[in-house]
Order: sequence, then structure tokens, then C-alpha cells
Amino acid sequence: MDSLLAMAVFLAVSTAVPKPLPHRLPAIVPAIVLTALRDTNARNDFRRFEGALAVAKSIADVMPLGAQRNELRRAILIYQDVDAVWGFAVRDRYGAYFNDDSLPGMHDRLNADYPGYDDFIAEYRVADRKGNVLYPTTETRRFLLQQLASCSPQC
Amino acid sequence: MKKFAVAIALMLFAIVGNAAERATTPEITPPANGEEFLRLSSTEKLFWSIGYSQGYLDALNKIDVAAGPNSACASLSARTERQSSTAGKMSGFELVSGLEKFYSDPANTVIPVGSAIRIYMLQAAGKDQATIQELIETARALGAESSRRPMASK
Repeated sequence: MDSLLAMAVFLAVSTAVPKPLPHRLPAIVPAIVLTALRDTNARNDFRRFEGALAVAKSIADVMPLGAQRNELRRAILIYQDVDAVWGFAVRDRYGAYFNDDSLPGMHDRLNADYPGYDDFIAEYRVADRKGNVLYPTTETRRFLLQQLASCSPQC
Repeated sequence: MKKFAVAIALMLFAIVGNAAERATTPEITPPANGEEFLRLSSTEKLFWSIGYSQGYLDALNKIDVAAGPNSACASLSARTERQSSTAGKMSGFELVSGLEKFYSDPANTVIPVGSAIRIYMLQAAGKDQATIQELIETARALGAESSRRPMASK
């Protein structure tokens, strides 16, 4: 977490100093941020995860175009979905499950963006007494984190 | 011979039916603490939560029968234990969500599930934070102590 703080300070300073974009970043920086995102997920630490995600986004914004930036942005897109689902689980009284009423459009979007999501979640979905289908946030989060394994070793 | 064939057919139907039932109903080992609770799938947590609420209520209703309607046990049950019952107060979905949130703090995973439910119910009822924190600290200490103690069955 100290490294993240140092990086945040570095970014604040580098963006404050007027110089042409894109900024040159040491190659290790994205890897450190991705490690922080992975570790906070493994430790189930939502507060630090949100901090790490904010830092990752600001780093992606200042990175030069290229494969490394694309990799980081792809990971960020997945982590943003993790954030939406996890944030709902943390904040909502019934956060263990979601449906179209509680997270509008989320299931359809995940289904469209991630091939295999519907098949994966079918095993875990439940219906309440009114027949509303609900999807578990824990397994959805697990599925999304598995998607990161399919990107480069950096993710 | 005909009867024999019918008997075999019935037996096969029973086996298939039993297997189908097993496939749809998860076999759940009741979780003792947060670590075990978090290991369950969401479906297992939900099934367990509904069963826990129903079982707790059934047990409370049987205290009258077992201990007598005007006994100390019955009055204790009516006074204290009924307050800790989740039945009729929160759905299985809410109980699962509440426990997941409670156990999301790694320090809480040693707390026994029964204590976690009581603390969560007090939290949901709006009990002051100082009391809740004190209860959590005590439950953590007791949970850590019980996890250090060797189990009698082992």
C-alpha cells in the first residue's frame, strides 16, 4: 500500500508539472498497480481495492499508447465490473444477490461482454417466492476475476 | 416373474429419484465460524440460512413442550432467545448478505456463526456502535480461544 501511496504522489506531481503527454512511466508501475488490485481482492479488502482502482485508472490515463496500456485498460475494465458488483454487495442490505431491479442491466451486460458468464452463473442463480431470478454477487465476482487469468501474465 | 420385474422397475425409479434429489439439494456441513461460512457457495449459504432460521424457531417452539409452559426455560426463551431468532424478521437473502458483510472483515472470521448473527441483528436494529464493537471484540476473543481448543471429536 505504501508503494501505491508513493505512486499516487508521483502521479499528482507529474500531472501538476506542465509537460507534454504522454508521460513516461517506469515499466514496473502498471505491474505494481495490478498486483495491488489482485492482492486487495484476495484479502477481500474493498476499501483498498477502490483506492487501487482509482490509482490504476489515473496511471492508464497518462500511459503512452501501446500494448502495455491496452493490457492495463483491459484489466481495469474487468476490475470496474468487479467494483460494481462488489460495491453493491458491500452497500446493499440484500447485497448477496442482484437482479435487474437492484443492478439494472448488469446481468445482460456481463452476459454480452463475457462469453460463458450465463452458463457459469446458471448453476448458482435462484428464484425468490415471487419468481424473480437472482444472481449471486460472490460467484459473479469470482467469475470476473477468473477472466483476468486469460489476459497477459501482467494482469 | 411379472411381480419381480415390477419390483426391479420400482427400485430403479427410487434410485433415479433419489439421485435427482441429491443433485438439486446441496449437502451442507453447518459452518461453525466465518471461515467455514465463506467457504460455502452462495446457494449453500442461502439454503443453510433458511434452514437455520426455521430450525431455530422450531427449537424455540419446542421449549414449551420439553421444559413446561411456565418453566424458567420457557420464560428465558420468550424473553431472550426469541429476540435472537431471525425467523420472521429477515429473509434468507438478507441473512446471507449480512453475514457476508460481517465476515468480510478478516478479523471476524473466527467468530462463531451464532454470535455473528446476534451481532448483525443488533447492528441492523440500530444498536449503538460502541456496544457493537465491544461485542465484536469479545466474540473475536472467544472465537480465537475456541479455535485453539482441540475438538472433543477429533
